[in-house]
Amino acid sequence: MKEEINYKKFGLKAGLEIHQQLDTQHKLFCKSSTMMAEKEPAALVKRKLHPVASELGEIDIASSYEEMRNRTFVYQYFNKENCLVELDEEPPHEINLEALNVGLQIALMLNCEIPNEIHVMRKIVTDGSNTSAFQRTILIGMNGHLKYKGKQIPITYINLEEDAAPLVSEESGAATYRLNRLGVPLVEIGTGLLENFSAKEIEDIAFQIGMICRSTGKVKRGIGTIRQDVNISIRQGERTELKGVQDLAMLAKIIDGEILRQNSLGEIRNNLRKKGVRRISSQPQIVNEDLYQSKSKILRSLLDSKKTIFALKLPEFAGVLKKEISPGKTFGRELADYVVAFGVKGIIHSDEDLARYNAVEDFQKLRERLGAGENDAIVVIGDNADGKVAFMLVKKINHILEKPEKEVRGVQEDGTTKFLRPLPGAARLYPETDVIPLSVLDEWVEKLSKTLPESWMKKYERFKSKYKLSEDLARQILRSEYLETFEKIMEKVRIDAAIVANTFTNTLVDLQKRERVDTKRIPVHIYPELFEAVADKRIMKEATPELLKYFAEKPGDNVANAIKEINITVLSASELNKIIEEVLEQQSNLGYDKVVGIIMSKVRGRVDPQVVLAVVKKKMK
Amino acid sequence: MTIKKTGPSVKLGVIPSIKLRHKPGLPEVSLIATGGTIGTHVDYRTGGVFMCRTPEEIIATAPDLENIVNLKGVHRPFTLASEDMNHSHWQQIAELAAKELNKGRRGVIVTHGTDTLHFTAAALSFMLKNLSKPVAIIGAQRSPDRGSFDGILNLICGGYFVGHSNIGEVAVVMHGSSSDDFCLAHRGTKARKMHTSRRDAFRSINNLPLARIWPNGKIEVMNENHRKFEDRKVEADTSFEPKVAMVKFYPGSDPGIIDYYVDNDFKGIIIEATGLGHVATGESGTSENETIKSLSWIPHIKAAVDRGVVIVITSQTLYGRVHPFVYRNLRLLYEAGAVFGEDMLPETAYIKLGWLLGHEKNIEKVKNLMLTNLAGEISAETDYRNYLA
Repeated sequence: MKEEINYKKFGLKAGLEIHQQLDTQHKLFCKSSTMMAEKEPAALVKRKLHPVASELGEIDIASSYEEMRNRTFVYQYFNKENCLVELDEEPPHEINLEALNVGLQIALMLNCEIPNEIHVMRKIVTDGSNTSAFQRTILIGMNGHLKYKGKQIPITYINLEEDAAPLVSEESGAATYRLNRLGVPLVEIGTGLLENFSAKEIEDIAFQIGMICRSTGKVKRGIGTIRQDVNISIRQGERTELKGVQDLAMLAKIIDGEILRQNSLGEIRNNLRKKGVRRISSQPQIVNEDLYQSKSKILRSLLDSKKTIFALKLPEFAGVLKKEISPGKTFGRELADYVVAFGVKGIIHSDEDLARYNAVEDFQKLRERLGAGENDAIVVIGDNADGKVAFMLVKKINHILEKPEKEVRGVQEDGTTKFLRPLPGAARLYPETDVIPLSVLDEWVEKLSKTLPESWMKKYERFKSKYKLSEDLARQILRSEYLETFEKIMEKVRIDAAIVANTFTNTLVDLQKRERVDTKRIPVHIYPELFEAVADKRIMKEATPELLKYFAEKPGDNVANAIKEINITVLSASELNKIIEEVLEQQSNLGYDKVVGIIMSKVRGRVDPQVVLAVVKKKMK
Repeated sequence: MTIKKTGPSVKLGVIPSIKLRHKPGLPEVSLIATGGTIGTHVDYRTGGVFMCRTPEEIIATAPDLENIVNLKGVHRPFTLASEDMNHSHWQQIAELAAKELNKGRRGVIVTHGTDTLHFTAAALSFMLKNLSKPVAIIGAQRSPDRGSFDGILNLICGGYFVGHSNIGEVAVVMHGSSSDDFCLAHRGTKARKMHTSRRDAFRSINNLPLARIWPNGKIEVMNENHRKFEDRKVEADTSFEPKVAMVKFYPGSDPGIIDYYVDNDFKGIIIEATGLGHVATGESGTSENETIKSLSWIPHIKAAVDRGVVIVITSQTLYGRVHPFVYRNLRLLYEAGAVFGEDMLPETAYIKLGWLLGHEKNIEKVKNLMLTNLAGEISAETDYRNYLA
């Protein structure tokens, strides 16, 4: 897996969909706060959702799959951050113009055409993350582009929409969602087809789009506030949507994993075809009676809980199920993920260590029962009497053998992915009839165009030319979460930009990694004060790590007091002279290096080391 | 930017309509669909929702009904938003319901727009004379195009109410809370829409709900004071005098409105008075301030009563009972000949007065009957538990 992936050879095609929360005061369709700071829900509301014949045709494929789960949804309601709109108990209020303006700014920066009318649409979502079973979404830009390495990256659409409620927990058919995120304005940016790019380059494109959003100064920051979905297909695979990449730095790794997964499934298909297996024709068999003497704990618990146990023969599959198809995932695990998505606990298969399950004899019996030979594999699944999931598993395997199915996969924290549901059909939008369309006047767009924030590339150039930052440091500070703080300091304080940028991109990281300092505790408003002290030579720049540590401990204190407390006031020339002379007197037998060491340990952070060296050198001569 | 068509157009408006399967052993009931949100489609031309669903389409949203009842008679006498209805529609529904019940149905479900649903509920309560079977009036606050459609639970609970409860009354069966957990059956003469948009908009006023109904079929009787189910004939007694008005008193309101109705041959007026039943009296008739004097309702009410118009006082507080004697001003109104309508809801009093005047020409008898409980509209005593329940 370590070798470089040849993206051209695989024929990698990708598409990005980036979701960025906006930092507006109110939600998109009501006046609730977007702070998402409340901890305790003020009320719980329980709901059911029903598949509906959407006005545009037959019951949506995604909806009916969700319906199979027959879930109850519990919604946590938060004071101030929720109102009846998010509870689906009141029609939406007028659209939030602050959010619309930020959205349009982003659309203009991505060179989009702006529609002359704003139409709110309902996108059907039946996983429970929206109380209304739809998400309100508005197309605000089309046919745009972004320049990247001399190429034009197409931006197909930009939507302004309501964020969904996040899942808190799910147990025994009840899914709990937090409602305070529901309705927070979000821009959804979709790129066109990205071909002939590496995974790292795709990650970089996602980064640049994120930077454009950030340059408005009106987007939320932190984990979960920007989420990437990426669509991946390779020549011998099928389009897969990987949903919810929260850490951009993992995107390339996730794409690589998906390429390997699709490729491995293709190899499995090719190998089985060579052996003459084109599809599975055998159906799952009920084997409860064959297993009634089972000593296996798992099988026993299935029998005891009155599950119907199905066994399935997979011809020529011996060894295939333990094949690793992507880092950390075997083919067997992949099939297990699939049934888990439909509410079954998992599968047991003959490529596993059956002794561990105490099921060697059971499988021997099943082999006889199903007429399975050494080269065949057996899969066992505990299901409801109708065997719905067991039969769906056969269908899924046949898809893999014949033509892979388009699917949606959820991205896990470790960067692996799991089957979520088949890719929903396209007919998922219909008009939100509770909000009247809004015309976007030309003058409005023109005014916005004239006041667009500085672009990411311009900022990069300015950091290099005006602040004399190196290319590396300019890039690092642009990516840093402290970018806004850096810019604020540079506006206010006359100081070498490299000192400030280095503090944010290196010092803080070092303190966190090496000394386990909780740098997140340092209040943002301290930084301008701190760098003013450096600029005024009240402290040496070498003293900043000590000060930062201090504020991580005592975030409520001020800079003047901190300087006193940790004794880092800059030494005057005479004070320094005194210390040097004392040391030289006491340690007259030591050499230059040792002497400098002792002196430095006494004055570190309180005087420029160059000055110490010069004075000591002069005195020792 | 202009919108370009990028693909073939999609066929609109595919709503399956199903006929429920007959399951032997289940009670036979009827359904009367009259319009409202529970029977809407999204209209792409006007952008709003409009009413057009057939009963079969409504049933299709709650297929679970086929395990609860056998739907025998399915009718659509008209399809209207409830704000467009008038007494003739209440009469049609009452006659249809009586006909179905007398065919041997165990009960009737009426689907209805929610805004004036409680008027219809009150009307049916009076018009279905000797009713001893359950009639459930049901609506929805979210339209059926959404996955969050609330009408499904209402239909299921309504099915249990008409098919399986031992209550023989007209009831509004709607969500009992914002959750999809249970419905409440509210007595038809004591129910009122108390919220513009919540699922649990309907409340029992001055009365405990009749029952709590769970979607698994559990029926928890909450109010023992109800008519029990009996398999008897019912009579549709639907005469109604439409020349009855509802008038709201408010500070500074012009009492000339009473004269307007009297001059236009109205036979009865329900006044939504303040508090215990007050209207302006011109400082008990002693004011020397010309404006205050001119705003007194007493002379106008007295004149109306003298011309044979029945004036009934109800309270805009909705909760509680009016009283004719606590203040001198109330006594003036009483002395002017107004009838104090006990703890009746203004809307119920309006329906009752129209129905009484449709039957009885003797004004004194009408006044007496207004204060006699006929369909659960007046409670003899005010239960402590009934406020904001």
